Amino acid sequence: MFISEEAYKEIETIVGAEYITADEQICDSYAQHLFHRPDPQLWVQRPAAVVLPATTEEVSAFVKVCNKYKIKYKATSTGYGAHNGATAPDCVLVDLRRMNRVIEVDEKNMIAIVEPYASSGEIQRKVWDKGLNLCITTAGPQSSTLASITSHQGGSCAGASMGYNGRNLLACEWVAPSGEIVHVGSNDNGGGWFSADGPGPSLKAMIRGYFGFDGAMGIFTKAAVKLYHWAGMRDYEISNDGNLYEADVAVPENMHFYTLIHETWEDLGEAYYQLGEAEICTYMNKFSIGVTGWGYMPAFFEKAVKLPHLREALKMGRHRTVIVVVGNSERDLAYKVDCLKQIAEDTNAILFGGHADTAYAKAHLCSLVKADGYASLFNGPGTFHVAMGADEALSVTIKQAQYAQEIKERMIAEGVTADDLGDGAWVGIYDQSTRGHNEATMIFDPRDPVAGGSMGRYSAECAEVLYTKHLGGIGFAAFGGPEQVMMFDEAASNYYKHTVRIKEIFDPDNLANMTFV
Amino acid sequence: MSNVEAFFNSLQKMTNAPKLITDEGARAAYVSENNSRLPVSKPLAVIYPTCAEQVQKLTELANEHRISLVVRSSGGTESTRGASLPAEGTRCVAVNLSEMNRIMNIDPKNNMVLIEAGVTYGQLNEALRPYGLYCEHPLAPRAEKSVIASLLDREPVMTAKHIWDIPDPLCCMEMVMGNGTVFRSGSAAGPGTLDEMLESGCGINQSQGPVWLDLGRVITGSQGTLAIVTWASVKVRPIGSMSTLTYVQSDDINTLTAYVSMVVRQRLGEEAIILNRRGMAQVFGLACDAAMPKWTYISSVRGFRLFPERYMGNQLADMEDIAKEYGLTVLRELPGLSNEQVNTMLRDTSPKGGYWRQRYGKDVFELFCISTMDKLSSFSAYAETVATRCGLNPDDLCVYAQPTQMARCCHIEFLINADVKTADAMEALLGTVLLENHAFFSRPYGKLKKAIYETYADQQSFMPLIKLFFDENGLMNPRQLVYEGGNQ
Repeated sequence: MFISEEAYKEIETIVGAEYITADEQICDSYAQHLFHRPDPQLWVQRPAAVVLPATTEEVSAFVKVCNKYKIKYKATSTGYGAHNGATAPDCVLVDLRRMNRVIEVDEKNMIAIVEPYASSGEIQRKVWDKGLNLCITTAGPQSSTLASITSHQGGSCAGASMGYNGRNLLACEWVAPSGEIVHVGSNDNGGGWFSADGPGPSLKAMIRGYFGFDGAMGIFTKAAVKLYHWAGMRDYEISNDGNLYEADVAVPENMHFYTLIHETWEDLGEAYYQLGEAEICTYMNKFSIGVTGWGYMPAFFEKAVKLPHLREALKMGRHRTVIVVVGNSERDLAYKVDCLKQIAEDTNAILFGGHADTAYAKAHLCSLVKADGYASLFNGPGTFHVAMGADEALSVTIKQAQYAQEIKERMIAEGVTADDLGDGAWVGIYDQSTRGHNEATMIFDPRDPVAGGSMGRYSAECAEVLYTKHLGGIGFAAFGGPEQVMMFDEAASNYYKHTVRIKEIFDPDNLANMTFV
Repeated sequence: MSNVEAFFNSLQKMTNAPKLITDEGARAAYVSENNSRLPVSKPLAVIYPTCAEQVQKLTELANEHRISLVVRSSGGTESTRGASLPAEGTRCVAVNLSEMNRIMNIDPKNNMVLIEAGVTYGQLNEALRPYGLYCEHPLAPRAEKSVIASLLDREPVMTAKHIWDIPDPLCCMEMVMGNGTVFRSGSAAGPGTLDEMLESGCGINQSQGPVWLDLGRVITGSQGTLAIVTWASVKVRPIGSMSTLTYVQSDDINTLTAYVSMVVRQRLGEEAIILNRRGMAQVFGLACDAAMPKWTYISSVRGFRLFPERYMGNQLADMEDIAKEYGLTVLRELPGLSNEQVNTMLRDTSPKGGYWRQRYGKDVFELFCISTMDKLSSFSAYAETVATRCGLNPDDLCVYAQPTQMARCCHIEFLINADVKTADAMEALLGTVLLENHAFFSRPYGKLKKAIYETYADQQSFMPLIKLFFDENGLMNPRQLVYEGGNQ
């Protein structure tokens, strides 16, 4: 055992014998992650033990024991990738699944207060009833909203109308690396959860950062998330056997689904600027035909791209954008639809869609509003990787996508990666503005050494492009392993050195253990 | 040689040395134009940097010689809150950034500007007009108010629906930390120089980052106690091709705020402010009319590139439908007040010498906090009661509420003319009442600061750590904020 018997017993006293274990088989179940890692391995570090606290007080007492015995720890909730795993053999993983309440939905002020394991889907179900909605990232409806807003980075097809989740955090409750329970923002004085910053400097910004510390900067135990106006469906049931692709869902008349196809990247970029300015999309993202194909129908797509005529036909739909338009009133809907038609005409696009009443429209609409289509990316060869990801001006994110396509096309020609026609870009607009997000996806089989190596190469080549072409930042190179992290340090305001210094000041023993720091 | 003399000597030896003024008149102006009711000190000298390199170098020298710095970016030396003046008992050198006033870049494609710290709202909006753009701003700020200083102070702008988060519309910035380290936040961090990034098409519009950092946001609300910002990128917006105004009035503030919440969340209207009867007089110079409903909500509607008339028509019709649900009426003009007058105040800075907060004289008591909009009713009632108790006429109390962050909360501001003694009594009493009733003082000013930090005790223990990160020698604007246990 990597932690002392004495420490183990103290933790056991806090959480109860049922809620701590160092059993290797159980610990192994926390050590397999398919996503977001610098190498194609399935396994991450097995934790020394797993602890499941039920309350903030238990979390606080646990962290104090860790300080006493200098035990490394890392918090996790619903988990999604390797970044959620233990970082060293002597690291205790804090599984927050027992803290799963939606504590309050404040309809009047558009705020929900949630615990770490409250899933985004569960919160959405509760707030839809009140004419409100929240941003669910592509991690999906099973994922933790608290983790998303406090501790990680991620795009969402809701980003146009509901922003970036790292900016959707309001006040929060946080167990500091010292074990102290801290109310951050307006709730410090019991004044409500409506504001994250102050009095004076923003502690919230210090402990949240941009990408988030992935459970390695103290432990967030409660958080207020921003909710947004929602005039769409209050709930839906898939009336068949649950098969999304044949979903027979009743979609209200004020919800439309559209597909917009551009031939060139330039036209697509121009359309995105206009979509942002017109503020007409509730959900939108560029969803290339290759990503959709590998996600929804991998066996068919793998064969289809090998047939020259079909390949050419599919390529025509590569730069495809899917959009959900929701009208607050009939006139609002009509206006938004007319704007969309005008934008399509101005940017030489093919536009089709309308009220979501076909199987194609319903499947896509459901996968967008609940963000449950993305899990299908694991359906094909087994997993996927994302590169680029430096949020910046829309035109710059489109450039990132173009470069990523060139890199991928070379690799497809060499036969070292799954053929998604080159364009794997997932692009979205944030805040109805000119700022965008691009994820250059690569689908690969982690059991195949060639494909695994290609993932590393794709990641490195995309990082090199961000670096040499000055395309807006570090993006997902931050998940590309220590070499990529360090490559950007000096070129990007010594961000790594500053991070180390923050950790030294806030968590001098680096017990809340980060992946690369 | 004293450390001050050594500092001045080193400064003067710098290549491209900044202007250093030790003239009594320039120093005294920092004291004579203090309207904050807080005692201040004369600075030892005033330095006028003209570029970021000078700021970096002088901060480095200040650390070497242990010289405290107080930064000011707005024009003039007048201060209503005293945060940009040396606190009483401190020996500081003033760093005046008003000559760093270049508009470095206007990017109409991405609706972004890059500006230096001394650029004022008046200057920026003048420069943006030919592009059909404007910078969202607080209600009729002083003409000489620095855009960056205002946004760093979390001063609320009027367009609640475009404020997705703090610190919108402020994005990235270059800062010189109190310890002399230069840092660029958000996507401005690089890789690449600013010119290289602009050449690549970057908008410098990703405010957070890089990666684990969000230091630009950390220093908002810090009142110059952590770092000096030399330039920043700011989001701007299209002016639109047409516009109109709407007014909704009620004696029942709860009904009115419910309406406001509903229209802002549905993204109806652009600028949006709430004023009480006296507030209408304070802002627009109207005679106080007892027949006027107690509360007025003013909102502009603008039409943009696509189908502007139809867009405006829809917005107005949707507003009217919502108003009906609350038993309210949307008016297109108010008796005795021209839309032109209102537009001037919503779109421009206050006229020089005619700052709206000082319409009835400079002896003005000001207190503001933020809270949810449903608290506006009770907080206003407390303020009226306190004014009465302090011997003032509650009808003279101006209440200005600024919805922000899509109306999830609002800035609530009370203004009333009072002599120093009465203003002190108002501050102590109203401050205590509001704190007891959980008002949130995100921007702590005045004599209430200490009580605010004592109330927000959880976070207070982390302030010394933040100070240590940015300014380990405690040189930036000492005694301005409470960094107990830090190196103040």
